[in-house]
Amino acid sequence: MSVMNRLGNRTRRTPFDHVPFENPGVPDISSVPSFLFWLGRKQWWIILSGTFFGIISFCALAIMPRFLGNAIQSITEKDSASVQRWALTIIALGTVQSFSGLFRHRRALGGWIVTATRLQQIIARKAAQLGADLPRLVSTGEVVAVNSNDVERVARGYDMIPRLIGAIVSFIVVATMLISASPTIGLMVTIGVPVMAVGIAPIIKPLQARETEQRRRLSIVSSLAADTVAGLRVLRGIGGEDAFVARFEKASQDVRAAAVRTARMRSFLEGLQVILPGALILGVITLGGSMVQKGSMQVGELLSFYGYSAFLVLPLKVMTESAQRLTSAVVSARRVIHLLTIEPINLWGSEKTLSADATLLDQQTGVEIQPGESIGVVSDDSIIADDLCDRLGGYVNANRVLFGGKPLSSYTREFIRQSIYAHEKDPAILSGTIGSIFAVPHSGRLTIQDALDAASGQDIIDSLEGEGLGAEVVERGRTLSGGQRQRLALARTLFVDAQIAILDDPTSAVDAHTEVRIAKRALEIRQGLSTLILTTSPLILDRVTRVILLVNGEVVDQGTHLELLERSAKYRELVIRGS
Amino acid sequence: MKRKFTNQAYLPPSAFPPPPRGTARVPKNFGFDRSSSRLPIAGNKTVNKEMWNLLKSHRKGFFIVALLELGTAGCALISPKVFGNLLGKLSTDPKSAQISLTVAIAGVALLCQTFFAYWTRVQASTLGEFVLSSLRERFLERVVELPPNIVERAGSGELLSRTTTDVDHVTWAVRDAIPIITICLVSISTIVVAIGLSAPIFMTAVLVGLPFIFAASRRYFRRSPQAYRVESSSYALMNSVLVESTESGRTVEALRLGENRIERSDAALGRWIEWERYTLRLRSQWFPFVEISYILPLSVVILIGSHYFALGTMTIAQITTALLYSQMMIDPLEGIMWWFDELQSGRASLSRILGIHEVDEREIRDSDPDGFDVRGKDVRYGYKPGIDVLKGLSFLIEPGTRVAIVGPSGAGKSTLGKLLAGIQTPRSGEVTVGGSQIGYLPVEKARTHVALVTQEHHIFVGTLRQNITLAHPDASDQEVWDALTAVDAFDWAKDLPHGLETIVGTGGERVLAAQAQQIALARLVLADPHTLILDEATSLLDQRAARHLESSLSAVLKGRTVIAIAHRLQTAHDAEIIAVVEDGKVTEWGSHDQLMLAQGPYSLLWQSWRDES
Repeated sequence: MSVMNRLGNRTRRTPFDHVPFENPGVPDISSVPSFLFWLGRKQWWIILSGTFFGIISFCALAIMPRFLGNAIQSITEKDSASVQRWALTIIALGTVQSFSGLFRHRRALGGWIVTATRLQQIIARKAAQLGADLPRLVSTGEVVAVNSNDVERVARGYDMIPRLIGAIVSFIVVATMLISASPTIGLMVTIGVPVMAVGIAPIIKPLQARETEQRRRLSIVSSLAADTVAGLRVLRGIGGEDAFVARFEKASQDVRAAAVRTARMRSFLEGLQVILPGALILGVITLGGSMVQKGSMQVGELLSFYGYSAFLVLPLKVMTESAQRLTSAVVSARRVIHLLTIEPINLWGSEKTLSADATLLDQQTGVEIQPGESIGVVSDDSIIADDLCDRLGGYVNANRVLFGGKPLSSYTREFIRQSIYAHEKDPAILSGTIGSIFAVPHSGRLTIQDALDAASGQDIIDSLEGEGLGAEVVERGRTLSGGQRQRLALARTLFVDAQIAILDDPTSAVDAHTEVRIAKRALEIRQGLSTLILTTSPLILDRVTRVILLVNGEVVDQGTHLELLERSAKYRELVIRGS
Repeated sequence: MKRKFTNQAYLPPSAFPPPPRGTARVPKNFGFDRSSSRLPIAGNKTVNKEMWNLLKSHRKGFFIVALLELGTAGCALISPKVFGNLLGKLSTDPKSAQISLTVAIAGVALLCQTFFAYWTRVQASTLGEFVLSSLRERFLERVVELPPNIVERAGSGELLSRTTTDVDHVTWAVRDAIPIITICLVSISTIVVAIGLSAPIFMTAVLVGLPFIFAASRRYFRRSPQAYRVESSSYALMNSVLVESTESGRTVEALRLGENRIERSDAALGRWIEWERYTLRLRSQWFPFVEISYILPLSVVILIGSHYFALGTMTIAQITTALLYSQMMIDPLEGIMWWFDELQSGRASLSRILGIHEVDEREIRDSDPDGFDVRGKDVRYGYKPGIDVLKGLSFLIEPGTRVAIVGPSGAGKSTLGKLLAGIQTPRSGEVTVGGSQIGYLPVEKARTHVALVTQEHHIFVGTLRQNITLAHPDASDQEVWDALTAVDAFDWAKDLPHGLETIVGTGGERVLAAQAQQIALARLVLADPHTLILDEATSLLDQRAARHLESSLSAVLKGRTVIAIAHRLQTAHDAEIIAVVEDGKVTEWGSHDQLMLAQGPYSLLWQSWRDES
C-alpha cells in the first residue's frame, strides 16, 4: 500500500486495526537478522511514522529550556510583548510535544501489538502443524515461555525504535546547541552525561541479577500457593495443612529477604541517579555563573543551560534501556526461530486412496483387523497395548503398519487421520461447550445424541452448568469425574465414526453397570465398521467377534471370548479374577 | 474492514465479552461476576478497616518512612531556591553574586537529598515487604482452612486466581505504587508550600493545571482498572489456548482440529486486541490533557512574574525559583498518574483476597468418639436446593468390616464417601463415628479417625517423602518404605534417582497417574486411621495391578474398617459387605453370597458377568 493510501485511510482508528491477520505470512527464519528484518519490513509504515513522531516529541521537550530561558531574559529586559510571545510559544510547544508523544505511543504500541500478534499467530500455526508431535518434542512450559516472554521481548524491540531514534536525534540537537553557544560548557555536558551513564552501568548487571533471583523466589511462592490450592481436596482427606503453611511461610520469608536486598541496591542506584546529574548541574552553574559575571553569557541562557543538562538525562536513560531491550530481543528472536524450525517426527507420503481393501496389519505383533470386524485385544502388559494403539494410529513407527498392503507412512497424514481413529488411554477433553467438543470432522451418520447415548453420557450434560449443547466443560474437563471424562471422550470418538477405530481401554474408570450398557450400544453403532478394543473387561470381550491374546507382545492365541476362556489359562488369569 | 476474528463461536464461554464501543464505561465487575460471585468479595468498609489496621499495627515504620520522605522533599527544595537567588543576583548585580557559596549550599543539599532518598526507599521497601509477606501468609493459612464445600462450589480455578493473580496485584501495589505515590504526594505538597512561601500569587499558577488534570483523569480512572484487568485476562486466555493445543496435541491431531485451534487462538488474540484498542482509546483521551496541564503552569508563572517584575514587586530570583519549582512538579504528578491504576487494581485485588476471610467458619461441635462403629441415620444431602443426591440412607458398619459400595454413575457414591469422611455434613440426618457426628469434629481430630482417598490424585511439589508423610511428618525411612511396599510402589520408588528425596510434582520427576494413586494410598497407610474410605482409589491402575495392590493393602489394613467405593466387581466380591447404592438410596446390603441369593440387581449384574466369563 502506498503512503498516500495509508494516510488517506480515514476509517482506521488505531495503528493495529488490521490485526489479527488473515494470513500472518511465512517468516524468513534463516538467521536472526533476516528474521528481525522480515518482521520489521512487514510493519515499516508504523515504525517509520512512529519514529517521525518520536523525533518531534523528543525535540519539543529538548528545546523547552531555551524558551524558558528566553522568557526569563525578556522579563529581565522588561519586554512584556516578547514575554507574552514566549509564554504562548511554550504552551504551543507543550501541545506539540504532548500530541506527538501520544502519536508516538500509539504507533509504538501498534508496533508491539502487530509484531506480537503476527508471531503468536505463526506459533499457533506451527503448533497445529506439529500436532501430536508437539508435546513429544517440546515441553508445554517452553512453548508458553516462547509464546509470551520471548514474543513480547521481540515485539518490545520494535516498540522501542521510535523512542530510541527520537532520543538520539534530540541528544544531537541539544549537544549542537550547547556547543555552539558555549564550547566549554557544551563539551562538559555532552561528555559528562554519557560518562555518567557509563558510570552507572556496572551496578545495573548485579541489580538485574538480584531482581531475577527475587522473581525466581516469588515464582516459587506463587507455585507453592497454586500447588496447595490444587491439592486442597487431597489435604482435606488426609491432613498435612500445617506442614504446607509452614513451607509456604518459609518461601514467603525468602522472598521478603531477597526483595529487601534488591531494594537496597535499587535505592543505591536511584541515589546515584539523583547525585550524578545534580553534580553536573552544579558544574554548569559554576562555569556559567562566572561567564555571566564576565558578561559573556546572558542570565536567560544560563537558565537554558541548566534545563538542557537536566534534559539530557532522559535520552541517556532511553538509550540504556534500548540497549538492554534490543539485546534481549535478539536473544528471544533466536528462541522463537528455534521453535519455528522444529520438524515433525513422522514423515508422510502422498497416497490419498487405498489400492486394496482396508485391512490394517501391525507387522510387529501380527495383529490384523479386517474391514467391518470388531476385535478385542487382551495384553498381559499394558505398555505394549498402549504402543500397539499408537502404532496402529500411525503416531509412532508408521512404516511398521500396513494399511491396504502399503505402509501407513506412504499415505498423507490427512488421509490416515480421516480413515483411522486411535483413541488413546486418557484422551484430552478440550475446554468449551459440549457443542464445541463435538465440533469435529465426522462422518455425519450419527447425531451427537446418538453418540452420547451409546457412551451412556447423558448424565454428564445434566451435571454441567448450561443447557444441552451449551453446557460448559472447563479446562481439561477437570470438574468431571474420571468416569465422566472417559465416557465423554468415548462419545466423541463414536461421533467421529471413523472407518477404523482403535480404542485403548476406553472403559477403565466406568462402573460395571454402565460398562455393560456401553459395550452393547457402542458396538451396535459401530456395526459394519472396523473396531479394535484393547481391554481386559469380560463385559466387552464377550461382545466382539474375535479376541486376540497378546503375551509379551506376541499373538499367542485367538478366538471368541468363550473359546479362549475355555482353552487358555493365561486368558482366564488376565480377564477374570483368579479364584 | 471485515472483522473475521472476533467470531464468538471460537471463543470459550468463559472468555470476556468485547469492550464497549468508543470509551463508554465498563460496568463494575464486568465479566467477573460469572466466576467470582461464589466466593465473597470484601466490601469497601472491610478493605478500609483492614488498611487502617495495617497502618496502625506498623505505625512506627510508617512514621519513620513519612519523616524520611519529608526530609527528601525538603532537601530537593533548596537547590532551585539558591539557584533562583543566584540568577536574580546575576541579573541585577553580577559582581556581587557568590557563585561558589551557592554551589556549596546546593552541593550539601544534594548530598542530603541523595542520602534521604536512599534511606526512604530502603525503609519503605523493608516495611512494604514485611506487610506483604504477612498478608500473603495469613491468606494461605485461611485458604487451607476453607470449608471444602465452598472450595468445591467456587471451583479451584477461582481460588487459584485469587491466590496467584490477586496476590501479585497487591504485591505490585504495595511494593511500588504505594511508596511512589506517597513520595510524589509529599513532594507535591512541599513544593506547593514552598511556592506559597516565596510568593503566594504563584500558587494560582501551580493550581491552574489541576482542574484539567482532575477532569481528564476522573474519566480515565473510572474506566481503566477494570479495562486493564480484562485486557490482561484476555491475554492470559490466548496463552491458555496454546497450552491446551500443546498438551492435547495428540487429540488435536487425531480429531483433525488443527484449523479449529488456529481459529480459536486467532479469536482469542482478536479479543485481546479489542481490549488493547479500548484501553488505547482511554489513554488517547487522557495523556495529552494531562501533559498540557504540566506545561500550562510554566507559562502562567512567566506571565505573572513579568507583570509583577515590571511593577517592581517581584524579583528575578522569585520568578526563577517558582519556574523551577513548577518544573519540579511534573515528575511527581506523572508518577501519581502512572501508578494510580496499579493502586486501584491492588485495592480491587485486596478486596478479593480479604473476601476469603468472610467465608463462614465451619461449625464445630467437639466430642470424643467412643468406639469405631460408623453409622448413618436417614442421611440426606444435595448440592442444589430442592434436589437431593442422597435420599435418606441408614446403615451401621461394624468396626473392622470391609465394605464395598457399588452402583451406577451418578447414584451418589462419592457424595456418601465425603459425608463418611466428615468433609461434608448431611442436610438432615446424621453420620456418626463412635457416636460423634464426624462432620462437626475439629478437622485434626476427625482425621485421626477417618481418612479419605479419592480418585483425584495430586502430587505436591516436593520430595517423595514429603508427599507421603503429609499426615505423619516424623515418619522414619523404614516406615515410609513399608508404606510404599504395602501399595506395591517399592519397585519403582527404589529406582528413583534420589530415592525418597527425589523431587516430584510439577517441574520434578514425572509420576504416572497410576503411581500417583499409589502415593495417595501410601499416605493413607502412614496416617493409619481406624476407618478408611477409598473412592475409586485404584481406578487408574490396570486391573491386574489393582487387584494385586488391593490384596497387599488389605494385609496391612487388617482390623481397620475399609469402605471402598468401586466400579470393579472384583473389589465388591472381596468385601464382607456389599452396599448397592442406586438413585441416592441403599437398595441392597449384605455379603456377596447373601446378595447372590437375594436375586436382586447385584446378582443379575454379577451373573451376566460371571456367565460370560
